Amino acid sequence: MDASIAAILLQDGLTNGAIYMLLALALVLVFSVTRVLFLPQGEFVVFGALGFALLLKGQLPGTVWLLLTFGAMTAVFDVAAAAPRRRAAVLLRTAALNLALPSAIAAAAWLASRHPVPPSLAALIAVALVVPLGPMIYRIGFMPMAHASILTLMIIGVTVHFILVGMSLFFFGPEGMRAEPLVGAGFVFGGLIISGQSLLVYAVAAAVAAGLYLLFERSVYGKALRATAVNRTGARLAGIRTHVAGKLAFGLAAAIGAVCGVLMVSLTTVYYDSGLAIGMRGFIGAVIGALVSFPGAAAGALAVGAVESFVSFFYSSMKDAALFLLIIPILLYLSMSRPGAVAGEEE
Amino acid sequence: MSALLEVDGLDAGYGGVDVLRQVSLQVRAGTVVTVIGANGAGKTTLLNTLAGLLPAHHGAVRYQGADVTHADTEDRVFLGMGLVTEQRNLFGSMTVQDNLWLGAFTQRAGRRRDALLEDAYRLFPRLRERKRQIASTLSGGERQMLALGRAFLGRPRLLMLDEPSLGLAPLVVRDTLATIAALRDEGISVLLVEQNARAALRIADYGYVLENGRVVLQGPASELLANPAVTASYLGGSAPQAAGAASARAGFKE
Amino acid sequence: MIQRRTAFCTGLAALALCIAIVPAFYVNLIAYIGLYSLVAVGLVLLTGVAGVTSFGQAAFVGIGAYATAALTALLGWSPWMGLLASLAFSGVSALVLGLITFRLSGHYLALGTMSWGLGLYYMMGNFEALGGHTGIAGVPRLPWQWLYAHAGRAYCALIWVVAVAFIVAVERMLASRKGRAIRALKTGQQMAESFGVNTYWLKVQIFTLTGLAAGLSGWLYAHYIGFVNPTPFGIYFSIEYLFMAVLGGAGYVWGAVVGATAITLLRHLLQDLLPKVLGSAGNFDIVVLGAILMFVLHRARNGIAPWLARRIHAPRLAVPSRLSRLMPRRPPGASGRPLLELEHVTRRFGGLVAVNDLSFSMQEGEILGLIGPNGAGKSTTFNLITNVLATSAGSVRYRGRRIDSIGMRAVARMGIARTFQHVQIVPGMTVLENVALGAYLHGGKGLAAAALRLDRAEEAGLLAAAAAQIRRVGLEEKMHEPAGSLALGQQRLVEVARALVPAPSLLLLDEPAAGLRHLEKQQLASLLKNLRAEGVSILLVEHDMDFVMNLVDNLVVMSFGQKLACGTPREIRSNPAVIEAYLGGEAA
Repeated sequence: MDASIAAILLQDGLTNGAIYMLLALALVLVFSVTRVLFLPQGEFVVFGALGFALLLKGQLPGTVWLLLTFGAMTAVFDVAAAAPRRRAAVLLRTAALNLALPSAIAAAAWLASRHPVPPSLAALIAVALVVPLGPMIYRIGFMPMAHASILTLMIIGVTVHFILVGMSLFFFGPEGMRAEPLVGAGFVFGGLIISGQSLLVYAVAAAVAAGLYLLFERSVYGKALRATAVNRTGARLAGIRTHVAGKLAFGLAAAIGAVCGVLMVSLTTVYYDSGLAIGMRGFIGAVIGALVSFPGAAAGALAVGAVESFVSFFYSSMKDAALFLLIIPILLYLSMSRPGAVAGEEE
Repeated sequence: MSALLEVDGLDAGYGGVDVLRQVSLQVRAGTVVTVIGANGAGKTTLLNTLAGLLPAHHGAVRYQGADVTHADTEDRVFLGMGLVTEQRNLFGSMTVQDNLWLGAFTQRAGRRRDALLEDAYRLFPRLRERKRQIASTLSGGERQMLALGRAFLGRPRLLMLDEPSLGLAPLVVRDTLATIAALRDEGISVLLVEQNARAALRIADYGYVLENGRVVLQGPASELLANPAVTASYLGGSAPQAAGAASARAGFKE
Repeated sequence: MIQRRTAFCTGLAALALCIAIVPAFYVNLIAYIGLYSLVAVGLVLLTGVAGVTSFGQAAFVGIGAYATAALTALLGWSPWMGLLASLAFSGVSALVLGLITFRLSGHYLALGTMSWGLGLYYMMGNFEALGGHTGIAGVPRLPWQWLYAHAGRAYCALIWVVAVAFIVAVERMLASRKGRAIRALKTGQQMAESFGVNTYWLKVQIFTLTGLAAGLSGWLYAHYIGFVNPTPFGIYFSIEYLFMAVLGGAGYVWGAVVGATAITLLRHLLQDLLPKVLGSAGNFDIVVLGAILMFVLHRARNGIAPWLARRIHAPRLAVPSRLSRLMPRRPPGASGRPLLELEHVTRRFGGLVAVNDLSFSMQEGEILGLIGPNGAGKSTTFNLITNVLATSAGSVRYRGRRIDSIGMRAVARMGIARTFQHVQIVPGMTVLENVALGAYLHGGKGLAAAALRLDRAEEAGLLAAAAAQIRRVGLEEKMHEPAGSLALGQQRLVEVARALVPAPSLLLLDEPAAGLRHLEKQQLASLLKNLRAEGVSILLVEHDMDFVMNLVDNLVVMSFGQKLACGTPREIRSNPAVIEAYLGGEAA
């Protein structure tokens, strides 16, 4: 192993790591607002990736049907759960959000599949198809159980994962897909070739990280989001509707996931079931951040990318095993350094 | 003149057990009303039910004429009902400034919030000194102040307070209660639940005594202050020997 | 209401009949259900009873299967050596992983199990020596050909014999001394520790047991189908086992069978039906399964089993009618020395000083009351004495020895017992079982002894001691009722009875009168006075002045975390500072 190989491995690792970082940030975001350990985050990536790839080929992605179905289900849930005298008002609002909006996006997707569009527009539509799924999944799967323990919410997350993977196979089929890079060019830097796509990934990762920072540290809405996890009752007493916070968090996570998917599908082949593997790597990063620290999760995810890159060079078949077994000492360390206290749990 | 808050025959409690039975009370606009009673009488249950954190089993709660008996907590806050709980429910890991800022969440646009923040600092100067301090590191009295300030920033018409004197040194209790009285001058009506009966009755206009979930006494605060039955309700229940003890301590009433 | 024994025998008979006469395909299905049940029972034990979730059980099945496959197919050893290997490998790995994982808490624990579940799976699939993703073929059959005749019906029966035997053993274990401790893990870990239970070690023990069962299932599986590959040992199967436990009713041991049957049949049905309806490929069976499970979690969180359990009548625990000897009491210490001494005890929480330089002492054979207005620090002080919290400064001595920071179990071993402000009973156990938990330290028989019914004599003694205390507090008629069905006041009495079982020298009561009616309070007061006459010292925290004033010998009054006054009830009653503290006033 000489310096140039190491440099290539490192670049590879950091590029993957940047994507894992985005996922780790999304996981920390969702956990810190809703206490849900959202394992299906990887599915958002897959939906975005495959949706983008299909649009570029001029085909209508199955995500459209997924979106419309979940939208209808959400609307039904909302109306059923509302008190009888409020049903009309609720119906109006949920129809707009969960039926009209998805239909509009679906129409755009349909148009895009008919007439060739520039890749950037296809990317936008692919992401737009996925974003509303976040709040819908929250509404259907998690909101009814908002008071449950973190463990129960985690089990629900696992269940949701199953459902989404099953649907993924149905809508996308078993074949993997890959797309042309959004940014073709690259440049040479001291003997090392840096691809344009890598740079795009770094740029997007930096932008999202900065955006999240601004949201959580500078805006009252971001602080309100944080507050719902820090002290739920206190947040309610300040008029912060925790369910709105939950939907927002899931929406952001879906957006981040879809963006990762769009970026990723140009770097590697994505299959309908790639979600778990990708999601777990983001998870390891999030765990390193003790599930509550954004910088910690970011650093952790980058480390995962780098470690994975080097390990797979030496002993590629063992890289998955090594990564997963590595979580344990990390969890151990975390558990010891905060005995009894559980991240995010209030009194 | 109809009351700001009307509670009618309220039954409430946890897990199927009714802690409150047939509680009725009123808060007129511009007054401080206090609910006193021994520990375990149901005072906290009362406030939590009025705020919507606990469901009411029977009875009605009306705020400004509108029925809020089953309304969401967040809706009640937007209508102008504020609550400071016994545990204060502060955002422990966030700064004092952030806690206050979030108190103003229901108020629109940024500039208005900043102006409100100034109001809060005027009322609680100690908090301005500790703007950037993490809330969990504050002392008991400072936490109480922060909780009050945060609730104040929601611009409530009715502020409900659960034992604001809890864990506070006597001097601090006096200041806190003075601040509460000042809130009345700002146009905020207060429903004050207290274990420190005397101090509460001193600043209140009207009072209710709660015992085992029922209202057993009510009247203008000055009358309750002079009533020996109030003492009895605290230090010895309503058993026969308590009456003797109460009269022996008659020298204690004001 | 069906009698349990009837239900059990009928079930077994029906099963035997099925195995004997159903078509070959279904024998296979029944065999798989048996194999799954063996693993699912472990999960029911972990999740429903001990409150711990594992997302990695399938890995242990894999270890068991691969161990025997490697030894028998690759090295040519006998399947019985394979059995030893399966049990050894799965047992040891469960032990090691348990030791590590149970240092984690809450959801970290679940994440940990997921990690090693995935890690082990990838290892199994990537070692060339173990056949990589193809696995190992040619696993030999057990040396009894008749097991495999007639579509393997006898083997299926063997699987079920093992499964049923294990489940019966688990049932017996749960009905024993350690079993009561296990059942307390979910809701009352702290309470269990305060009676001397080493909860960490207990969890590791159960976990190892479930690992062994899973390994055994793997061994049976390998010699049933003749080959192993990594697929059935991955995370999807781990989660399916969890689904079985949850659907069946985590918390009911037989629920594992119900869940395994339901999920297997459901999956089979869906795999058959859905392609015909939807006409395409796709793992829709998983989707539907997931949707069903979500529905169950939302609506019937306790699964199916409770519905069934309500229709089956469970027999009562036999209590020896003679009052056997009560636990021997520790001899009193040297007289003259205070029983309990607090010196300059302080406790801080961040910026808050909850207990501030508190010093007082308590004599042998007295009843001491700790009172004060709300927020004075009484409960914190109580928690400091009982080691729930550590002191920030100062010391607590019991009979001259320091007891702050020695841990709750050590405190229990010194003859100190306590009750809790928020009642800590196990709602699903009867009153008798709850109270018997107090005798934990007075027994020595473990899980193995319980499974083999070698602990009957000891059990009888423990239960008799518990029954005696139940009679003493006046709850005899409720002895066999589930403790969760009692009114709050009665539950408090259960707590007192439980604390009395180990014959403590010092009894610590946290608001024992709260929620009791007048008559009950009188009975409790006279009970406590009787105890004092027998030489038990009592420290109680209370709000009810009537109750306290007529009971205690001395009082310590706290205010703002400090000692305000101490003395006899009469002295305290007429102390102006005390009255001030209660009724309130202003400074100067």
